[in-house]
Amino acid sequence: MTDTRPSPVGASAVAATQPDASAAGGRDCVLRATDLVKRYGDLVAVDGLSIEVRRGEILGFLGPNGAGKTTTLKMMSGLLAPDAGSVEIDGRPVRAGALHGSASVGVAPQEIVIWDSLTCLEQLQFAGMMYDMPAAAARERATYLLEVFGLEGKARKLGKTLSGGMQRRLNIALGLVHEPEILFLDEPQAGLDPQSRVLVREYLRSLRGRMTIVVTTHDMEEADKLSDRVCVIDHGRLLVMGTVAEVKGRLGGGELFEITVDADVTEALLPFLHRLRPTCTLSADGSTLSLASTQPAEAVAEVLREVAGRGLLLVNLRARGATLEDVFIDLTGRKLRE
Amino acid sequence: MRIVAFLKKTFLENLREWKVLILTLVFAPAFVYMMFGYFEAASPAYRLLYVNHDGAAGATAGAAPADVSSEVAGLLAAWEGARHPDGKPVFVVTEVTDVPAAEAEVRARDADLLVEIPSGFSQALRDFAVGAGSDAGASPPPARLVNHADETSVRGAMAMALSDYTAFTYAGVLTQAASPLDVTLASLGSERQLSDFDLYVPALLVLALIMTLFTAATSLVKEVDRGTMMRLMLSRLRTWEFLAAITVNQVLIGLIALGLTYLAALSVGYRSDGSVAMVLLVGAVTTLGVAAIAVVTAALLRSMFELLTVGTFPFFILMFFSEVMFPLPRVRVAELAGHVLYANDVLPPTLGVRALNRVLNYGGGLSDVGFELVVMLLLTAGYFALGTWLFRRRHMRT
Repeated sequence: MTDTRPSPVGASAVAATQPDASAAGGRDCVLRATDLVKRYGDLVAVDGLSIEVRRGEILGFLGPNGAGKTTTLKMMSGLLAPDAGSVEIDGRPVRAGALHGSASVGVAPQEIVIWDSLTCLEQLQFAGMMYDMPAAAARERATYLLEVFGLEGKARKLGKTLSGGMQRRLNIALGLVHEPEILFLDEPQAGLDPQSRVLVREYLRSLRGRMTIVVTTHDMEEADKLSDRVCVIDHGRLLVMGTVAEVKGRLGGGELFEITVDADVTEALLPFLHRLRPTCTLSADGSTLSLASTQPAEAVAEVLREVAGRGLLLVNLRARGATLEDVFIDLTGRKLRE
Repeated sequence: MRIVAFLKKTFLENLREWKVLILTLVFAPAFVYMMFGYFEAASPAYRLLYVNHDGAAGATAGAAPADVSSEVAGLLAAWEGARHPDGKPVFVVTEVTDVPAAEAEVRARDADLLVEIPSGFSQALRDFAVGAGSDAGASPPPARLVNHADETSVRGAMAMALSDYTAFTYAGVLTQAASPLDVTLASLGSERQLSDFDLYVPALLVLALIMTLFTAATSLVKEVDRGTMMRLMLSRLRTWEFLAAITVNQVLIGLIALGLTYLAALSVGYRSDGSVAMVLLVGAVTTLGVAAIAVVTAALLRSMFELLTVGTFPFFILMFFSEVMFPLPRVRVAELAGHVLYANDVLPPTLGVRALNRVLNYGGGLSDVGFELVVMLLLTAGYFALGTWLFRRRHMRT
């Protein structure tokens, strides 16, 4: 597969989205991260990232591996001190570690973080009691969450005896036990079977409006179904942020054309594609060229003329709605990340 | 409430991770039986060889044979009748005829001592007895014995000293000769006779407490290794509550281990002069010290693997430098309120062994071990402060 859209598109997107992000903050912003920077030696994991999260929304936090999602999440949840920048929750500045004891934040990390030698019920109740919930209330809440996450039959099973998927569900439940104001979920769908995905997604959606949820994911379809707004980051920088429709709309108003020919598109049309790039969003995958443009009719006609002029055979031409994956690939490229 | 919940959680985890718990609880009692067996088997019955040039050869040890003079027979009976305080024989006496072969045995430390009874030994004793009883002038020459021994061997030196003492005593009684020196014993020990095993029991009890280093460090390192420290950091649980709950749990486990070890000692005949309450008090304070060192240890480790490898070093340091396994040369550091502090007192279990010895074997009370308890508590506070600072810095930093 070939990446035909390198960084310039991303760069322009940053410029275009920063004002959008600040505008979002004006509407009952519950969390504001400003100019966050985090370095690990020479690596700049997060590079001046600013985002604002609205109260009660579900924000999908997207980015390739190593984009800085987890680091940003840790800084926003108070688990990691930024090298520069600030985080505010409800207007109160958050120093790293200052969220200790605050019921405002819940975290379900990417890795499974449960107590192996406690039963499901015991650890949820214990977690609740660590937030000063009375034992009976914590037990009631634990029982409720076990039902919600389909673990009621495993209430008396030790954490280490659960399957990987069950442990993941328990991992999420542990972040919710004290009913936090903001819930940070890092790749919650990883390792879940389709049934569990639906179950978790539906429960999270049921919290919309009552709890602010920031969720990182690689799964664009999941982000599409779950999120009110999404943001895409890469190399520690914000590339785009908006509602799912707004973000999709960045690609030719949300409509995408796929043109399939009888040859490798990149090899056959490379000089032409370079000429076309300033006015279109292009992506090539073997013999198929995906094209989005604000003037799609002209752009498609131009491509077809080039195809015919080079003696290539048009195999297929179709229009479809842009997906988040299209936007994601467009913004972050096709190159594999470690 | 949080501290109780955390205490319960830690206790449940310790119970369910029963392998570490069983190791902690069983290690010291097993050592009690092992050391009891060792002291029984290794009760120092010194192997004493003798060659008799005084009378006819070929006499066997035991009842005085007819071809051995009554003086030699009496000496053999004295050696064979010598007893340790626990009633066990001091010597195993064997006659030999081949001196070079016997010396080779002593050099190889297969025997501890070869005593040569020279010709004329019995006559000299008889002459001495007559001379001692008469008013004549100069005493006749004394009877002689020749020791063939490796003086660099502790057992050889001990065997020689005890053999000489027994022989002098026997000769004194036999000849009625007045001794120029009379040494008497002013006993400083307990009224009962203490065996080597009795003196070792306090150290074995402290060994049981040192084992809690593993359970305590496991409770701490596991939270780091499994990432659950993050959940605790976000919760309202305070660092001191976290450490206090784990420490209280370890004190409970330590006291159970102490009880089991004590029962094991009782089961092989150990009897104590001390009060159980004092034993528990010293045990609890010692466990606090071990728990504090466990916090320092856990602060330096990040995984259970590290705990089971690198983490064994502090365990061995405590085990070997607290005089639990054997006595160490004492390096005097300071004197405080009439009490001497030694270099290895920096490890609380050292003071624990000393205090428990006073309580168990000499019936000591609070006033007898108060200094050790106070120093242990001060050291514990220091270790906790260092451990907490390190733990927060390495595992709770954001």
